[in-house]
Amino acid sequence: MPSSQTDASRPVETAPLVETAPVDTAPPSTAHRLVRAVGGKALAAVLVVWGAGTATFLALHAIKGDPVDIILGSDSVVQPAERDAIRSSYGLDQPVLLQYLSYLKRVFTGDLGRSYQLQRPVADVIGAELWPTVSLAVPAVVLAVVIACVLALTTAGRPRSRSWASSFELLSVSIPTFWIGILLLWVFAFTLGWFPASSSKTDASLVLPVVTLALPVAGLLSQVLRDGVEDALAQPFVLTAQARGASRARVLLVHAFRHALLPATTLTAYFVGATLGGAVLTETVFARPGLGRVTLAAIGSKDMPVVLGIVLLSALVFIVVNTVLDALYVVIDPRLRTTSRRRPGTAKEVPA
Amino acid sequence: MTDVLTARRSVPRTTRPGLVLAAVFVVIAAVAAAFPTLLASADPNLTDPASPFAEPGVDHLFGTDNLGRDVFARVVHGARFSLLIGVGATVLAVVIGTALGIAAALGPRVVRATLLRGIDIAMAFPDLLLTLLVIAVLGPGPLNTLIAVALGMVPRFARVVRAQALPVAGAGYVTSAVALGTPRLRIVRLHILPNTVRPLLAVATVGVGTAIISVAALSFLGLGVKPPDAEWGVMLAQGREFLRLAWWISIFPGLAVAATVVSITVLGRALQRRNSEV
Repeated sequence: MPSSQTDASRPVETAPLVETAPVDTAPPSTAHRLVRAVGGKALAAVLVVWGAGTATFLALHAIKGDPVDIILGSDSVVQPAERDAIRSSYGLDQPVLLQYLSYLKRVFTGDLGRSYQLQRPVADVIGAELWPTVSLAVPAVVLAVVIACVLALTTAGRPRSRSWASSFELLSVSIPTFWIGILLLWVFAFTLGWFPASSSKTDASLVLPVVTLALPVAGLLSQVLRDGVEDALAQPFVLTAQARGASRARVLLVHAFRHALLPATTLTAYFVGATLGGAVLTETVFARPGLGRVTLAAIGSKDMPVVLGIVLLSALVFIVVNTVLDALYVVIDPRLRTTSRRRPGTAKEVPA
Repeated sequence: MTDVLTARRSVPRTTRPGLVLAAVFVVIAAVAAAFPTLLASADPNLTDPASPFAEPGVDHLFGTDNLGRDVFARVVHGARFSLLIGVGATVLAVVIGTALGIAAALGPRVVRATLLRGIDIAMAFPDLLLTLLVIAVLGPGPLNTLIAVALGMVPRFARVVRAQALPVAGAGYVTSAVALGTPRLRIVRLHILPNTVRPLLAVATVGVGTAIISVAALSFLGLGVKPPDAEWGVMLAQGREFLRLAWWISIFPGLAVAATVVSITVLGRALQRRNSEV
């Protein structure tokens, strides 16, 4: 359904109700194309980060209540003069537009402002908690990709094992991350005692959180990958390969798998979101430090500079992952190296 | 983003017993939400200092929690929050998403470009972060949870609607309507909406499942429904503290969330498959 839909939607973009996108008539040179493609992407990326930051800035300024109260803490008694001093030291006495412009200026110089709650630079707060989250998220993504590839390649085109894998996928995306975590804790930490329960510095304490974070992502990814593999297996070139005597493993790995990777890379938004959002929940379940905890604390205490910093960071991560996958796309799909045709759908296009 | 899943071709064909089971469970959950006392006679908020941490048994089907409250009664009563907020958020998201999606597909050029960019930007936020931001602005609470979860789903629904509306806009009957001079809004209402919304319904059904997870997640993080209300996420958060001592406090509410979401997802997929086969 998704492929037929996107296929159907493309020629239709020229329909009467919809204005046609401008199309280049003269084919530009390859270098020109490359510059334009890269420039366009970079511009779009900057726009997304800027838009995310601006939207958040405006939204956070709509919050009722005096930021000075947040800076001081609710129960402190401070003279009005001191309040004004604090207000002006954070630049909060200026009009919102000026605050916005000076924030923009500072962000471009790498200064994310100071946390209201912690009275430390936001960059330090985020920097200090970055590593625990990275050391959780990166192994989780790797594990998810491994599980998904193994599941997809071993079950594609095999009805029986495929239905088992499908059940796993259904469960892994339907069961809340935090409950998976609690379940794993109960079984493997408290009942069997194989792994430590709460955050300690050992590597073993990472196992359960990593699995918790990896399972939902693995479920969706393996489904998308297997779809791709099965689509590829139905193609004439697979028949040709089989006719030449290629083994099943060779057909799968050399011929089909590459095709399966293409649709999977279009789900970047989902995977980045699932990993970052999942990190918030996983860190809470396992009482681990990290950006998730920082995010929660900042939102709970309306610590605007920290919230803004987190939003900018996550938009940046999204952009970087997207760009890397775009580059991978060219590596995976040789057709993209010679023509300037954009691949069907942008990286964020989610087949509906 | 489970709607991605439902759209895939390889979605397993659920067996009829599986479908029936899912439907039965959804009905049970709906009954629990509407008439909780039919299923659980115990008071979900009645504390019993004499029997905290009672194991599941005859007196207390799912055991009792740290305050001696009946876990079964709390799970049954918790269905109301999850289903009401989950369904409400989805409906709100469908309405807003449809409006934005149609505007992004067919509106004036400036509107289209702005909305498309806006959706792109919104998609750069992880779902949960978007929801958390709305909570940061609005503050916690059940109604704000509904709004936050809905707004978290809007960008995706808007995309789906836009993708549906574009081919419909190119269909012969729309071209004829344009040629006949039918007003734009009338075309949208008569031709585009009906043909766009139907596929969205299946996506939205699965969206209810996603929304229920989000609601539970927010409450679990302490930003949604607040204790002492019996809500699945709240119960999970409280039970997490006593997991070593009493697994039943957190395992049963989680099971309720999981079973509800799996059932809804199965039904949504079946709906979607029927749509695509027609």
